Amino acid sequence: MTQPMTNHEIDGRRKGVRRTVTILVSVVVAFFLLSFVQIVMMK
Amino acid sequence: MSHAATHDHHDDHHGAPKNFFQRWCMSTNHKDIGTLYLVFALLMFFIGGSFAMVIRAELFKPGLQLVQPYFFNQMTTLHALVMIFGAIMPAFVGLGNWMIPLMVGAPDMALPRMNNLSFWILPFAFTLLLSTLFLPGGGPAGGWTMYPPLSLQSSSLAYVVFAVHLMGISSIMGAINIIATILNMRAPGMELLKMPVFVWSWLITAFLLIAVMPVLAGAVTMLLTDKYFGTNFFNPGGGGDPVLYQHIFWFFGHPEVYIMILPAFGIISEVIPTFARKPIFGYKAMVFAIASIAFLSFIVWAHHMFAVGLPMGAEIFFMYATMLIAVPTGVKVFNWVSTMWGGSMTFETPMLFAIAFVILFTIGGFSGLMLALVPADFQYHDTYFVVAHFHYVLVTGALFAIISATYYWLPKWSGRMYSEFWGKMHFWNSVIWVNVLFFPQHFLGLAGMPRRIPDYNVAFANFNMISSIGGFLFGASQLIFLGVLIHGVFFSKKKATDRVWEGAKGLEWTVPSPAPFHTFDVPPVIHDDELAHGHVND
Repeated sequence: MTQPMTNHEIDGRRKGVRRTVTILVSVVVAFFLLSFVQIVMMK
Repeated sequence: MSHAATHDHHDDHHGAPKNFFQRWCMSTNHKDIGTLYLVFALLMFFIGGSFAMVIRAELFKPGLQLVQPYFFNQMTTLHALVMIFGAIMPAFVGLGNWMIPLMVGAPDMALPRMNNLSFWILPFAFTLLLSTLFLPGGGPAGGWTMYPPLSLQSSSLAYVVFAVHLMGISSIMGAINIIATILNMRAPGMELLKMPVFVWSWLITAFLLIAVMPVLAGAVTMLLTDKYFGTNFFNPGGGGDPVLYQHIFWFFGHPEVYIMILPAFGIISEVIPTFARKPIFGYKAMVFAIASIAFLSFIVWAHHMFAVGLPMGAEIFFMYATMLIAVPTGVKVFNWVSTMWGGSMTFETPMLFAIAFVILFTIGGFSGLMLALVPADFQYHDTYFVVAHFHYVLVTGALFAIISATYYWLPKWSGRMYSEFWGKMHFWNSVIWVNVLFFPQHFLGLAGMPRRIPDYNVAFANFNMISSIGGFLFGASQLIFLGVLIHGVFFSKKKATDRVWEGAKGLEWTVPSPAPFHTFDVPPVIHDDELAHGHVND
């Protein structure tokens, strides 16, 4: 049994993926920079 | 519903590309990339295993036997790096790639091209890492933790740091892909609390990866700039502090341990219900326990550093926080046992490895509790007790779960049944010899034998010899695994049915065996009866 998806739902998925990737990449960059900040502040 | 879309704008809808290069090097198919990851992990498992054989051969008798101490140090360092980043992690990513889209009813991963890149970075990273063995000055020898100032003396530091960066980039891209897939690509009706526990475990693991891999990247970048660009992050002569490196490394390193065990929890939570023919006991508790363990993993890092001279308050905090992890872990172990309790159990190879996991991982957990105690850790720190502890967690834990998953899903991947007789031979040999290998190391550690040494006091000779014999035979047992895999993939005459196992539930068992090149182009309808954990909201 399958259930067809509408174009609207497919667009929603695409936007969701884009939003998720943007947020996660920002988190990665933030944590990378944070490691330097943390070391410099603790020195 | 006027615009029913059944195609996703790809022109590769029918089958795998015939051209070898196109199929395997340029693949965007989650199943092929999953296979690549698994084959790569197997190769690395044997390379890392061969390093372990050198270590155990050298330690077979007291005195220097086969290799020079510096080469021995390279072997211990590379064994860890290869096994952690080359074998265990890629194996889990391979299993995730293969199974997550099938389990949530998605046609593929959310970012298929990035998926290809995530994998193909790895062979280059490990070529770079292993090539250091052939360079003047040799490979890294300061331990996988790369503590300064020792690691800064290594001539291969730049290679290792670049390799670690590449592995980190690969892991981060893999994690982003998995999160994006699970959050956005589930079939309609596959709500979060209906997902299989394996998918949940990977979702949480992926968040851990996102949070900690950049921190490792930062730490090793600082090592690099300290060595080559005149900075003094960790150099006391310039106002730096090597202990800061340990803090930042273990802020990555402890969650890393859970990155290597949470997907294993997910696998065991799939295998046990199938062969006990009962839904998992306490589905929601299992999910929340994984999330709790993941959270706690961020606040326990300094238990690796009790001996560096932390303030008493910090030692007590990290001791209690560490012991707290026993609570959600205990929930999981009791739920696995409760799932089996009263079940109509059979003992096929995946189930045997899963049961061995529950028992032996628990032993590793208990020795972890002993190490969590500050006063006890002062004695155990840097001894073979620690080596025994983390090998029980990572070999009889993570590796046994990966082997269990391989036997469990192999018929779905290849369309053929493996030899159950040889699978059981593999199991019994593995489970006996792994204990001969690692159990005596507890005694060695308690008696005071330090880790990472090529020579030792004659008082430790007997247990070392027993451990080495166990090591050689455990290593040889894995050749049975290789044989079973080759036979099961290419030569077995016994065809697998779609469901494969009588008690198996979940979307992955609704597709044919072997799973077609493309699945769920049109999302499946989700029936609660089909879910592995039954009606979770009841």
